[in-house]
Amino acid sequence: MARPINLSKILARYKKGWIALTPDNKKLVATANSLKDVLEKSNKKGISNPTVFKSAPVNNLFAG
Amino acid sequence: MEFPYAKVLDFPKHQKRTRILPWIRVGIFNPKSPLKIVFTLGLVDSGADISIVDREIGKELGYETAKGIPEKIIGLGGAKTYGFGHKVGFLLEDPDDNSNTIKYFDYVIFTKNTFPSTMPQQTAIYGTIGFFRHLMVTFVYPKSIIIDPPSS
Repeated sequence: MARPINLSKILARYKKGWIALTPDNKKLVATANSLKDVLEKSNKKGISNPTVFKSAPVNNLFAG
Repeated sequence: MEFPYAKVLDFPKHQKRTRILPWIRVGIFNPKSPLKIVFTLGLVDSGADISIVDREIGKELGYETAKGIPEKIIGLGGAKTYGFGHKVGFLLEDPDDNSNTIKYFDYVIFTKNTFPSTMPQQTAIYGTIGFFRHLMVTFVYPKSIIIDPPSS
């Protein structure tokens, strides 16, 4: 059974900017203000294919 | 392929609330340089007509985003988002076996600006064009999202 990716702590800590996770989405790799920088930081840590996303205000509900 | 949902917390009226969101890892690439892939954590949204991706991702993949087809996207309440349509490659990797992949090409809109700051998804929204028209998607909430190519 797939367990949800728990982003609670990461989104509580990083309110802005780009976030990189390991490819299995389980661990934080890097954060930065730009996508380019977060990819560079990840690459320096040996993760060339991180999952990336921008922090988002998840306290707002979405319909669309 | 079975993808997990993402779990987030919010605190309406100071009460903790857990929300389970259909955010999954989707790789996108420029067909002109297919070895460079950006793996996004994006919202799978069957209510969206087209897929919308943050402009920084387009830039990172080497697109001159403003040279694409201009598009205007209308959201709930009439909110407008502007962007430019481009052909991209998509890559989905099986979370349980990343040698098992689904690859195809379709259009996305790279945003002209960032997503509206209040939107609870700031990276990518995967809709009918760019996602659902290529895949069989089953939402098994809150367990997982099962995605397979149409022919399987």
